[in-house]
Amino acid sequence: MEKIVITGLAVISAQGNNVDSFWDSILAAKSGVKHITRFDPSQYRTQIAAELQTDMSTLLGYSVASHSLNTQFALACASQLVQDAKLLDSPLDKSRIGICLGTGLGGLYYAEEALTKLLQQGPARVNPMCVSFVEPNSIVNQIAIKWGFIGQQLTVSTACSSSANAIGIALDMIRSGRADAALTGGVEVTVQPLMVAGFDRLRAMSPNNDDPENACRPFAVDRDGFVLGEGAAMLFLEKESSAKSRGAKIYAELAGFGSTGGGFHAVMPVADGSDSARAMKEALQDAGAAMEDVDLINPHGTGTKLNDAAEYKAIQQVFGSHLDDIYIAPTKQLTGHLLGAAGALEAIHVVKSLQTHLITPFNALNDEFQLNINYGKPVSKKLYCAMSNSFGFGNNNVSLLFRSL
Amino acid sequence: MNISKSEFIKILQANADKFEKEDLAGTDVLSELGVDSLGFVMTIYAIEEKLNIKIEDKDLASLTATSTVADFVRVLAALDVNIEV
Repeated sequence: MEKIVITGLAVISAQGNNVDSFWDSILAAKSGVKHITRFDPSQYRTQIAAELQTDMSTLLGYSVASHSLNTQFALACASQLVQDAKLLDSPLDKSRIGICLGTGLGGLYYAEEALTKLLQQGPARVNPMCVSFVEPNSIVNQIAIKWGFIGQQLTVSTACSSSANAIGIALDMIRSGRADAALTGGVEVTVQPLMVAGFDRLRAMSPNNDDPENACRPFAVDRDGFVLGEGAAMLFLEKESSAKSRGAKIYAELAGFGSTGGGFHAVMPVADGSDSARAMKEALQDAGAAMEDVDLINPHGTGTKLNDAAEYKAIQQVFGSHLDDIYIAPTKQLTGHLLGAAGALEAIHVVKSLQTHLITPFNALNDEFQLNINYGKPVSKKLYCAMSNSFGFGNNNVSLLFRSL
Repeated sequence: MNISKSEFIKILQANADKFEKEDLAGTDVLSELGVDSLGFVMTIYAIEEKLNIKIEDKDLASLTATSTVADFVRVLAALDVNIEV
Protein backbone atom coordinates (compact mmCIF):
# COMPACT_ATOMS: atom_id res chain seq x y z
CA MET A 1 0.00 0.00 0.00
CA GLU A 2 1.41 3.36 -1.01
CA LYS A 3 2.29 5.80 1.77
CA ILE A 4 -0.03 8.76 2.32
CA VAL A 5 1.94 11.84 3.30
CA ILE A 6 1.26 15.27 4.72
CA THR A 7 2.28 18.09 2.41
CA GLY A 8 0.61 21.05 4.05
CA LEU A 9 -0.22 22.36 7.52
CA ALA A 10 -2.29 25.33 8.71
CA VAL A 11 -3.41 26.70 12.07
CA ILE A 12 -5.70 29.46 13.31
CA SER A 13 -5.51 29.55 17.11
CA ALA A 14 -5.35 31.72 20.19
CA GLN A 15 -1.62 30.96 20.26
CA GLY A 16 -0.91 32.08 16.74
CA ASN A 17 -2.57 32.43 13.38
CA ASN A 18 -0.06 30.42 11.41
CA VAL A 19 1.90 27.23 12.01
CA ASP A 20 5.16 29.01 12.84
CA SER A 21 3.71 31.28 15.52
CA PHE A 22 1.66 28.40 16.97
CA TRP A 23 4.76 26.22 17.08
CA ASP A 24 6.85 28.99 18.67
CA SER A 25 4.21 29.33 21.42
CA ILE A 26 4.18 25.58 22.00
CA LEU A 27 7.99 25.42 22.18
CA ALA A 28 7.88 28.20 24.80
CA ALA A 29 5.06 26.43 26.73
CA LYS A 30 3.05 29.61 26.28
CA SER A 31 -0.64 29.25 27.06
CA GLY A 32 -3.41 30.82 25.00
CA VAL A 33 -5.88 30.72 27.91
CA LYS A 34 -7.19 34.05 29.22
CA HIS A 35 -10.38 35.54 30.61
CA ILE A 36 -13.33 35.33 28.20
CA THR A 37 -14.11 38.61 26.43
CA ARG A 38 -16.65 37.57 23.74
CA PHE A 39 -19.47 37.69 26.28
CA ASP A 40 -19.77 38.58 29.94
CA PRO A 41 -18.78 35.39 31.80
CA SER A 42 -19.27 36.82 35.30
CA GLN A 43 -22.18 34.47 36.09
CA TYR A 44 -20.26 31.39 34.99
CA ARG A 45 -18.30 28.98 37.17
CA THR A 46 -15.51 28.91 34.56
CA GLN A 47 -14.67 32.31 33.04
CA ILE A 48 -11.55 31.47 31.02
CA ALA A 49 -10.82 30.05 27.57
CA ALA A 50 -8.30 30.16 24.73
CA GLU A 51 -10.50 32.55 22.77
CA LEU A 52 -9.62 33.49 19.20
CA GLN A 53 -9.88 37.27 18.99
CA THR A 54 -8.25 37.94 15.60
CA ASP A 55 -10.45 39.43 12.88
CA MET A 56 -10.33 36.94 10.00
CA SER A 57 -10.97 39.61 7.34
CA THR A 58 -7.89 41.51 8.53
CA LEU A 59 -5.88 38.30 8.53
CA LEU A 60 -6.95 37.41 4.99
CA GLY A 61 -6.75 40.91 3.53
CA TYR A 62 -10.30 40.69 2.17
CA SER A 63 -13.70 40.69 3.80
CA VAL A 64 -15.23 37.43 4.97
CA ALA A 65 -17.66 39.28 7.24
CA SER A 66 -20.67 37.93 5.34
CA HIS A 67 -19.78 34.39 6.48
CA SER A 68 -20.48 32.77 9.85
CA LEU A 69 -17.58 32.88 12.31
CA ASN A 70 -16.74 29.18 12.00
CA THR A 71 -16.66 29.51 8.21
CA GLN A 72 -14.42 32.56 8.59
CA PHE A 73 -12.01 30.40 10.63
CA ALA A 74 -12.23 27.70 7.95
CA LEU A 75 -11.52 30.08 5.08
CA ALA A 76 -8.59 31.73 6.86
CA CYS A 77 -7.07 28.36 7.75
CA ALA A 78 -7.63 26.87 4.29
CA SER A 79 -6.02 29.93 2.72
CA GLN A 80 -2.82 29.13 4.64
CA LEU A 81 -3.05 25.47 3.72
CA VAL A 82 -3.46 26.20 0.02
CA GLN A 83 -0.27 28.27 0.14
CA ASP A 84 1.72 25.86 2.30
CA ALA A 85 0.84 22.84 0.15
CA LYS A 86 1.40 24.94 -2.99
CA LEU A 87 -2.02 24.11 -4.42
CA LEU A 88 -2.66 27.27 -6.44
CA ASP A 89 -0.63 26.16 -9.46
CA SER A 90 -0.35 22.47 -8.68
CA PRO A 91 -0.83 19.76 -11.32
CA LEU A 92 -3.36 18.04 -9.02
CA ASP A 93 -6.80 17.50 -10.58
CA LYS A 94 -9.20 19.59 -8.46
CA SER A 95 -12.02 17.14 -9.15
CA ARG A 96 -9.91 14.53 -7.35
CA ILE A 97 -9.20 16.67 -4.26
CA GLY A 98 -11.56 15.76 -1.43
CA ILE A 99 -12.44 17.85 1.59
CA CYS A 100 -13.11 16.18 4.94
CA LEU A 101 -13.38 18.40 8.00
CA GLY A 102 -14.53 17.75 11.54
CA THR A 103 -16.60 19.93 13.81
CA GLY A 104 -18.43 19.03 16.99
CA LEU A 105 -20.71 22.05 17.16
CA GLY A 106 -20.93 23.35 13.59
CA GLY A 107 -22.67 26.71 13.54
CA LEU A 108 -24.32 26.26 16.90
CA TYR A 109 -22.85 29.54 18.14
CA TYR A 110 -24.83 31.28 15.39
CA ALA A 111 -28.01 29.41 16.32
CA GLU A 112 -27.70 31.00 19.76
CA GLU A 113 -27.55 34.47 18.25
CA ALA A 114 -30.37 33.77 15.80
CA LEU A 115 -32.60 32.21 18.45
CA THR A 116 -32.13 35.21 20.72
CA LYS A 117 -33.18 37.49 17.86
CA LEU A 118 -36.13 35.27 16.97
CA LEU A 119 -37.44 35.29 20.52
CA GLN A 120 -36.83 39.00 21.08
CA GLN A 121 -37.79 40.45 17.68
CA GLY A 122 -39.72 37.76 15.81
CA PRO A 123 -39.07 35.69 12.70
CA ALA A 124 -38.81 38.67 10.35
CA ARG A 125 -35.51 39.60 11.98
CA VAL A 126 -33.80 36.25 11.33
CA ASN A 127 -30.95 36.42 8.81
CA PRO A 128 -31.93 34.71 5.51
CA MET A 129 -28.56 32.91 5.65
CA CYS A 130 -29.39 31.43 9.08
CA VAL A 131 -29.70 27.83 7.84
CA SER A 132 -26.44 28.02 5.94
CA PHE A 133 -24.70 29.54 8.96
CA VAL A 134 -25.95 26.89 11.38
CA GLU A 135 -25.45 23.73 9.32
CA PRO A 136 -22.07 22.11 10.06
CA ASN A 137 -21.26 21.57 6.38
CA SER A 138 -20.79 25.26 5.53
CA ILE A 139 -17.11 25.05 6.51
CA VAL A 140 -16.55 22.46 3.80
CA ASN A 141 -18.65 23.88 0.99
CA GLN A 142 -17.27 27.39 1.32
CA ILE A 143 -13.72 26.06 0.91
CA ALA A 144 -14.86 24.12 -2.17
CA ILE A 145 -16.48 27.25 -3.60
CA LYS A 146 -13.43 29.42 -2.89
CA TRP A 147 -10.72 27.12 -4.28
CA GLY A 148 -12.66 24.82 -6.60
CA PHE A 149 -11.78 21.54 -4.87
CA ILE A 150 -14.67 19.42 -6.08
CA GLY A 151 -13.90 15.87 -5.05
CA GLN A 152 -15.84 14.17 -2.25
CA GLN A 153 -17.00 16.57 0.48
CA LEU A 154 -17.61 15.37 4.03
CA THR A 155 -18.26 17.00 7.38
CA VAL A 156 -17.65 14.67 10.31
CA SER A 157 -19.21 15.23 13.72
CA THR A 158 -18.20 12.84 16.50
CA ALA A 159 -17.86 15.35 19.37
CA CYS A 160 -14.26 15.83 20.51
CA SER A 161 -12.85 13.25 18.10
CA SER A 162 -14.48 14.90 15.05
CA SER A 163 -11.36 16.19 13.34
CA ALA A 164 -9.30 13.12 14.23
CA ASN A 165 -11.99 10.98 12.58
CA ALA A 166 -12.03 13.43 9.65
CA ILE A 167 -8.27 12.98 9.17
CA GLY A 168 -8.63 9.20 9.31
CA ILE A 169 -11.54 9.25 6.87
CA ALA A 170 -9.52 11.48 4.53
CA LEU A 171 -6.75 8.87 4.71
CA ASP A 172 -9.28 6.18 3.78
CA MET A 173 -10.61 8.42 1.00
CA ILE A 174 -7.21 8.42 -0.69
CA ARG A 175 -6.37 4.79 0.07
CA SER A 176 -9.68 3.66 -1.43
CA GLY A 177 -9.05 5.60 -4.64
CA ARG A 178 -12.03 7.89 -4.13
CA ALA A 179 -9.68 10.88 -4.17
CA ASP A 180 -6.05 11.58 -5.06
CA ALA A 181 -5.59 14.10 -2.27
CA ALA A 182 -7.58 15.62 0.56
CA LEU A 183 -7.83 18.78 2.59
CA THR A 184 -8.65 17.70 6.12
CA GLY A 185 -8.71 18.86 9.74
CA GLY A 186 -11.23 20.63 11.93
CA VAL A 187 -12.89 23.92 12.77
CA GLU A 188 -14.64 24.97 15.97
CA VAL A 189 -16.15 28.06 17.56
CA THR A 190 -16.55 27.21 21.24
CA VAL A 191 -16.59 30.46 23.20
CA GLN A 192 -20.32 30.96 23.08
CA PRO A 193 -22.69 31.51 26.01
CA LEU A 194 -24.81 28.36 25.66
CA MET A 195 -22.04 25.80 25.19
CA VAL A 196 -19.90 27.32 27.94
CA ALA A 197 -22.98 27.16 30.19
CA GLY A 198 -23.50 23.50 29.27
CA PHE A 199 -19.95 22.48 30.13
CA ASP A 200 -20.17 24.72 33.19
CA ARG A 201 -23.21 22.83 34.44
CA LEU A 202 -21.43 19.51 33.86
CA ARG A 203 -18.59 20.88 36.02
CA ALA A 204 -16.26 19.54 33.35
CA MET A 205 -14.16 22.71 33.10
CA SER A 206 -11.55 24.01 35.51
CA PRO A 207 -12.89 26.80 37.74
CA ASN A 208 -9.36 28.09 38.31
CA ASN A 209 -10.20 31.56 36.95
CA ASP A 210 -7.39 33.26 38.87
CA ASP A 211 -4.67 31.31 37.10
CA PRO A 212 -5.85 30.78 33.51
CA GLU A 213 -2.51 29.61 32.14
CA ASN A 214 -2.24 26.77 34.64
CA ALA A 215 -5.93 25.96 34.98
CA CYS A 216 -5.90 22.87 32.74
CA ARG A 217 -3.60 20.28 34.34
CA PRO A 218 -3.73 17.01 32.36
CA PHE A 219 -2.83 13.90 34.38
CA ALA A 220 -2.08 15.99 37.51
CA VAL A 221 -3.16 14.82 40.95
CA ASP A 222 -5.07 18.08 41.43
CA ARG A 223 -6.59 18.28 37.92
CA ASP A 224 -10.07 19.78 37.97
CA GLY A 225 -11.25 19.96 34.38
CA PHE A 226 -10.49 21.22 30.89
CA VAL A 227 -10.46 24.72 29.47
CA LEU A 228 -12.08 25.53 26.13
CA GLY A 229 -10.09 26.63 23.10
CA GLU A 230 -11.22 27.40 19.56
CA GLY A 231 -9.90 27.82 16.06
CA ALA A 232 -9.04 25.68 13.06
CA ALA A 233 -6.29 23.30 12.06
CA MET A 234 -5.83 21.65 8.67
CA LEU A 235 -3.55 19.19 6.90
CA PHE A 236 -3.18 18.34 3.22
CA LEU A 237 -2.85 14.65 2.43
CA GLU A 238 -1.73 13.00 -0.79
CA LYS A 239 0.05 9.89 -2.05
CA GLU A 240 3.82 9.93 -1.60
CA SER A 241 4.31 9.50 -5.38
CA SER A 242 2.10 12.53 -6.06
CA ALA A 243 3.99 14.64 -3.54
CA LYS A 244 7.34 13.63 -4.98
CA SER A 245 6.34 14.11 -8.61
CA ARG A 246 5.15 17.66 -7.99
CA GLY A 247 8.06 18.48 -5.66
CA ALA A 248 5.87 19.12 -2.62
CA LYS A 249 7.39 19.49 0.84
CA ILE A 250 6.69 16.31 2.83
CA TYR A 251 6.23 16.78 6.58
CA ALA A 252 5.52 13.20 7.63
CA GLU A 253 3.54 10.08 6.80
CA LEU A 254 0.01 9.55 8.11
CA ALA A 255 0.48 5.84 8.67
CA GLY A 256 -2.43 4.54 10.72
CA PHE A 257 -6.00 5.21 11.80
CA GLY A 258 -7.93 3.48 14.56
CA SER A 259 -11.55 4.36 15.32
CA THR A 260 -13.72 2.63 17.90
CA GLY A 261 -16.83 3.10 20.00
CA GLY A 262 -17.37 2.36 23.66
CA GLY A 263 -21.17 2.10 23.82
CA PHE A 264 -21.18 3.18 27.44
CA HIS A 265 -22.27 6.72 28.34
CA ALA A 266 -23.18 10.12 26.88
CA VAL A 267 -20.40 12.01 28.63
CA MET A 268 -18.37 9.55 30.74
CA PRO A 269 -15.44 7.47 29.47
CA VAL A 270 -15.27 3.69 29.79
CA ALA A 271 -13.40 3.51 33.10
CA ASP A 272 -10.95 0.75 32.17
CA GLY A 273 -10.02 2.42 28.88
CA SER A 274 -10.62 -0.77 26.92
CA ASP A 275 -12.44 1.03 24.10
CA SER A 276 -9.73 3.64 23.54
CA ALA A 277 -7.03 0.96 23.87
CA ARG A 278 -8.68 -0.79 20.90
CA ALA A 279 -8.43 2.42 18.88
CA MET A 280 -4.70 2.66 19.63
CA LYS A 281 -4.12 -0.99 18.71
CA GLU A 282 -6.10 -0.53 15.49
CA ALA A 283 -3.96 2.46 14.53
CA LEU A 284 -0.75 0.50 15.15
CA GLN A 285 -2.05 -2.46 13.16
CA ASP A 286 -3.25 -0.21 10.33
CA ALA A 287 0.22 1.29 10.10
CA GLY A 288 1.98 -2.07 10.32
CA ALA A 289 3.78 -0.69 13.37
CA ALA A 290 4.80 -2.28 16.63
CA MET A 291 4.01 -0.54 19.90
CA GLU A 292 7.77 -0.34 20.51
CA ASP A 293 8.06 1.97 17.47
CA VAL A 294 6.15 4.76 19.23
CA ASP A 295 8.29 7.55 20.70
CA LEU A 296 5.67 10.18 21.47
CA ILE A 297 1.96 10.35 22.30
CA ASN A 298 -0.17 13.45 22.24
CA PRO A 299 -2.95 12.11 24.48
CA HIS A 300 -6.53 13.27 24.56
CA GLY A 301 -5.51 14.50 28.03
CA THR A 302 -8.31 16.89 28.84
CA GLY A 303 -7.45 17.32 32.50
CA THR A 304 -10.69 15.84 33.82
CA LYS A 305 -10.52 13.28 36.61
CA LEU A 306 -12.29 10.51 34.72
CA ASN A 307 -10.89 10.99 31.22
CA ASP A 308 -7.24 11.11 32.18
CA ALA A 309 -7.53 8.10 34.48
CA ALA A 310 -9.22 6.04 31.75
CA GLU A 311 -6.73 7.15 29.10
CA TYR A 312 -3.79 6.25 31.34
CA LYS A 313 -5.21 2.76 31.79
CA ALA A 314 -5.69 2.46 28.02
CA ILE A 315 -2.15 3.58 27.23
CA GLN A 316 -0.80 1.20 29.86
CA GLN A 317 -2.74 -1.72 28.31
CA VAL A 318 -1.33 -1.01 24.86
CA PHE A 319 2.25 -0.02 25.64
CA GLY A 320 3.03 -1.82 28.91
CA SER A 321 6.57 -1.21 30.13
CA HIS A 322 7.46 0.54 26.85
CA LEU A 323 5.48 3.48 28.26
CA ASP A 324 8.67 4.34 30.19
CA ASP A 325 10.33 5.14 26.84
CA ILE A 326 7.48 7.25 25.43
CA TYR A 327 7.15 10.98 25.88
CA ILE A 328 3.62 12.19 26.63
CA ALA A 329 2.71 15.66 25.34
CA PRO A 330 -0.70 16.82 26.68
CA THR A 331 -1.02 20.02 24.67
CA LYS A 332 -4.48 20.95 25.95
CA GLN A 333 -2.69 22.44 28.95
CA LEU A 334 -1.58 25.22 26.58
CA THR A 335 -4.10 25.26 23.73
CA GLY A 336 -7.30 24.63 25.64
CA HIS A 337 -9.70 22.04 24.27
CA LEU A 338 -10.81 22.86 20.73
CA LEU A 339 -13.50 20.13 20.88
CA GLY A 340 -14.11 19.04 17.27
CA ALA A 341 -10.93 20.78 16.07
CA ALA A 342 -8.71 19.40 18.85
CA GLY A 343 -7.59 16.28 17.02
CA ALA A 344 -6.40 18.28 14.02
CA LEU A 345 -4.48 20.79 16.14
CA GLU A 346 -2.85 17.95 18.05
CA ALA A 347 -2.05 16.14 14.79
CA ILE A 348 -0.16 19.26 13.73
CA HIS A 349 1.70 19.26 17.06
CA VAL A 350 2.70 15.65 16.47
CA VAL A 351 3.74 16.24 12.86
CA LYS A 352 5.85 19.27 13.84
CA SER A 353 7.42 17.24 16.65
CA LEU A 354 8.38 14.51 14.16
CA GLN A 355 9.66 17.06 11.66
CA THR A 356 11.82 18.96 14.15
CA HIS A 357 12.69 16.01 16.45
CA LEU A 358 11.73 18.12 19.45
CA ILE A 359 9.78 17.13 22.56
CA THR A 360 7.79 20.21 23.47
CA PRO A 361 7.69 21.41 27.09
CA PHE A 362 4.85 21.94 29.54
CA ASN A 363 4.34 23.86 32.72
CA ALA A 364 5.10 21.78 35.79
CA LEU A 365 2.39 19.40 36.98
CA ASN A 366 2.13 17.12 39.96
CA ASP A 367 1.67 14.12 37.66
CA GLU A 368 -0.44 11.35 39.23
CA PHE A 369 0.78 8.69 36.82
CA GLN A 370 4.56 9.35 36.59
CA LEU A 371 4.35 9.86 32.83
CA ASN A 372 7.26 11.18 30.77
CA ILE A 373 6.01 14.74 30.40
CA ASN A 374 8.73 17.22 29.53
CA TYR A 375 8.79 20.28 31.78
CA GLY A 376 10.79 23.42 31.20
CA LYS A 377 12.50 23.51 27.80
CA PRO A 378 12.24 21.60 24.51
CA VAL A 379 14.26 18.38 24.38
CA SER A 380 15.93 17.10 21.22
CA LYS A 381 15.25 13.43 20.49
CA LYS A 382 15.32 11.45 17.28
CA LEU A 383 11.62 10.71 16.73
CA TYR A 384 10.35 8.02 14.41
CA CYS A 385 6.73 7.41 15.23
CA ALA A 386 4.08 9.38 17.14
CA MET A 387 0.46 8.81 18.11
CA SER A 388 -2.33 11.32 18.63
CA ASN A 389 -5.42 10.30 20.64
CA SER A 390 -8.82 11.97 20.52
CA PHE A 391 -11.82 10.74 22.46
CA GLY A 392 -15.29 12.21 22.16
CA PHE A 393 -18.41 12.33 24.30
CA GLY A 394 -20.44 9.21 23.64
CA ASN A 395 -17.24 7.11 23.59
CA ASN A 396 -16.02 7.97 20.07
CA ASN A 397 -12.33 7.06 20.15
CA VAL A 398 -9.73 7.83 17.52
CA SER A 399 -6.00 7.21 17.36
CA LEU A 400 -3.84 8.44 14.52
CA LEU A 401 -0.30 7.24 13.90
CA PHE A 402 2.30 9.39 12.17
CA ARG A 403 5.81 8.45 11.03
CA SER A 404 8.75 10.63 10.10
CA LEU A 405 10.15 10.18 6.58
CA MET B 1 -35.76 57.36 6.82
CA ASN B 2 -32.75 57.93 4.61
CA ILE B 3 -29.96 55.77 3.26
CA SER B 4 -27.10 57.65 1.62
CA LYS B 5 -25.92 56.64 -1.82
CA SER B 6 -22.59 55.41 -0.45
CA GLU B 7 -24.37 53.30 2.20
CA PHE B 8 -26.66 51.85 -0.47
CA ILE B 9 -23.67 51.01 -2.69
CA LYS B 10 -22.01 49.25 0.28
CA ILE B 11 -25.13 47.18 0.92
CA LEU B 12 -25.31 46.13 -2.74
CA GLN B 13 -21.59 45.36 -2.86
CA ALA B 14 -21.90 43.12 0.20
CA ASN B 15 -24.72 41.17 -1.39
CA ALA B 16 -23.91 41.09 -5.10
CA ASP B 17 -21.48 38.59 -6.55
CA LYS B 18 -19.92 40.79 -9.20
CA PHE B 19 -20.56 44.39 -8.20
CA GLU B 20 -17.42 46.04 -9.51
CA LYS B 21 -18.65 49.59 -10.24
CA GLU B 22 -17.69 52.41 -7.93
CA ASP B 23 -20.82 54.38 -8.74
CA LEU B 24 -24.45 53.57 -9.30
CA ALA B 25 -26.97 54.89 -11.85
CA GLY B 26 -30.75 54.69 -11.75
CA THR B 27 -30.70 52.86 -15.07
CA ASP B 28 -28.47 50.03 -13.79
CA VAL B 29 -30.29 46.69 -13.88
CA LEU B 30 -30.07 44.93 -10.50
CA SER B 31 -29.43 41.48 -11.96
CA GLU B 32 -26.63 42.85 -14.14
CA LEU B 33 -24.97 44.24 -11.01
CA GLY B 34 -24.86 40.68 -9.69
CA VAL B 35 -27.86 41.00 -7.38
CA ASP B 36 -29.32 37.53 -7.82
CA SER B 37 -32.37 36.19 -5.96
CA LEU B 38 -30.41 35.49 -2.76
CA GLY B 39 -28.54 38.78 -3.07
CA PHE B 40 -31.88 40.57 -3.34
CA VAL B 41 -33.20 38.85 -0.20
CA MET B 42 -29.99 39.74 1.65
CA THR B 43 -30.18 43.35 0.42
CA ILE B 44 -33.73 43.66 1.75
CA TYR B 45 -32.60 42.09 5.03
CA ALA B 46 -29.70 44.57 5.31
CA ILE B 47 -32.07 47.52 4.78
CA GLU B 48 -34.54 46.09 7.31
CA GLU B 49 -31.75 45.69 9.84
CA LYS B 50 -30.31 49.13 9.20
CA LEU B 51 -33.61 50.96 9.56
CA ASN B 52 -35.34 48.57 11.93
CA ILE B 53 -38.31 48.14 9.59
CA LYS B 54 -40.12 45.19 8.05
CA ILE B 55 -40.61 45.08 4.28
CA GLU B 56 -43.50 42.85 3.19
CA ASP B 57 -43.46 40.66 0.07
CA LYS B 58 -46.42 42.60 -1.35
CA ASP B 59 -44.35 45.78 -1.28
CA LEU B 60 -41.78 44.12 -3.52
CA ALA B 61 -44.25 42.48 -5.91
CA SER B 62 -43.59 44.93 -8.73
CA LEU B 63 -39.88 44.13 -8.90
CA THR B 64 -38.60 41.56 -11.43
CA ALA B 65 -35.28 40.22 -12.71
CA THR B 66 -35.04 43.17 -15.09
CA SER B 67 -35.84 45.86 -12.52
CA THR B 68 -33.46 48.78 -12.33
CA VAL B 69 -31.94 50.56 -9.38
CA ALA B 70 -34.49 53.35 -9.98
CA ASP B 71 -37.36 50.83 -9.79
CA PHE B 72 -36.01 49.56 -6.48
CA VAL B 73 -35.54 53.08 -5.13
CA ARG B 74 -39.16 53.90 -6.08
CA VAL B 75 -40.45 50.86 -4.22
CA LEU B 76 -38.46 51.83 -1.15
CA ALA B 77 -39.61 55.46 -1.39
CA ALA B 78 -43.20 54.24 -1.19
CA LEU B 79 -42.21 52.71 2.15
CA ASP B 80 -40.75 56.06 3.24
CA VAL B 81 -37.17 54.85 2.73
CA ASN B 82 -35.35 57.49 0.71
CA ILE B 83 -32.18 56.80 -1.24
CA GLU B 84 -30.58 59.44 -3.45
CA VAL B 85 -29.26 57.79 -6.61
